[in-house]
Amino acid sequence: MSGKRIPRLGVGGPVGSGKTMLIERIVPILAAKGYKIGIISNDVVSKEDAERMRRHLAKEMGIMPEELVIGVATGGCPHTAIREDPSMNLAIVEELENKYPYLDLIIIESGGDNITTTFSPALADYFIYIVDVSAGDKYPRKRGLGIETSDLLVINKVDLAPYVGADLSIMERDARIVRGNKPFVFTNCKTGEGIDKVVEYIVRDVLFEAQPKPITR
Amino acid sequence: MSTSIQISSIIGNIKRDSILRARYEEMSRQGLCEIVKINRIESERVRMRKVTDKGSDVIITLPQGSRLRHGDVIHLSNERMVVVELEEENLAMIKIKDDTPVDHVVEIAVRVGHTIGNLHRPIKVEDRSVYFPIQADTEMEMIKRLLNPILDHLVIEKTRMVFEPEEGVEVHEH
Repeated sequence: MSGKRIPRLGVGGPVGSGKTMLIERIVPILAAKGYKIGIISNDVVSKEDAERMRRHLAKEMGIMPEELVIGVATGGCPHTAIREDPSMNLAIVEELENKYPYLDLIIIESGGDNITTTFSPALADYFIYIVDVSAGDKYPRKRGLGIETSDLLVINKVDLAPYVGADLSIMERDARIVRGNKPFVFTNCKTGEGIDKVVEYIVRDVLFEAQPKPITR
Repeated sequence: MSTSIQISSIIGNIKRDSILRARYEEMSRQGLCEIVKINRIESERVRMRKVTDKGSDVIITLPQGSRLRHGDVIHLSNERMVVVELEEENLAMIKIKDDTPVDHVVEIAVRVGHTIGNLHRPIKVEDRSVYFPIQADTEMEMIKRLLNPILDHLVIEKTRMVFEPEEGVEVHEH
């Protein structure tokens, strides 16, 4: 069974922080390197994010089959489906592993949640937590499980900093204090700024710099 | 750059296996041991990449459902032993005082358990004490407020150490 296990990347963060857009940015770069990816997108009551990624990444860009973007409407608190009882997501992961064993990576997007979001270690091998600067430069120092324990903290929408009075140097200083030697990256998902750095971490720490698998059906 | 150490199984544990512990002590004296520090969440992961205290790159892919414990040996050769250590974390310790009347111990223990359960924390029970993780010092005040009616019978302290929760009790944290 363990031979079929496909690496799993969890992406979580507050509503509107840029989870979906981050995925829309990293998938084309990984696909250009030859990696084949499946996406599970959790949302509370809609499947809008999954539909958007399916339209964008599959229909418009043609870099992945439509059936490899799966939407899950979880109901309730979003973190329940990725941490307390990840069985629904695990069932989909296992289905993807059985149907598409050639995948190199499965990305699991959480529904928009609060600062205590984390992924069950049974569900995700690596956890990216994304926040955006428009929530204020106090965000990193206020801590919370996501900011403190995620493997990679992404601070998005750096272009908005001057409009909301957020000082990026304060966010950088506090992120260092709170996270010790765990990494963080400033991004602007609209322009692609910082995305290469995020991909670098994924390739090194999730994919272990492995060559993409050959497609065998 | 040296090649990575590939790990696909746990060899044993120096806290539970006296032969392995003796080997660890001997290899430690020879400077052949390397430590991989992980946190409690990572201890339940089966796939991760870490760097040892001596800078070696370690790639871990364990069978599904594996759990790493403090003191696990994950690599062993004549030249090198790699041992897992859990990072210490901040904990609250609640102890029922020794002079508490026996008639009250059950009620107090149940109330403490109910309060910790409401906080959705994993626990470790030792004798009359229970340990559970806290994120910030400010939580100590909150815990004391919650337990206010029975505070006279309790010792509540903050401590910091390696925490390996009771297994088989499904919990989650907020």
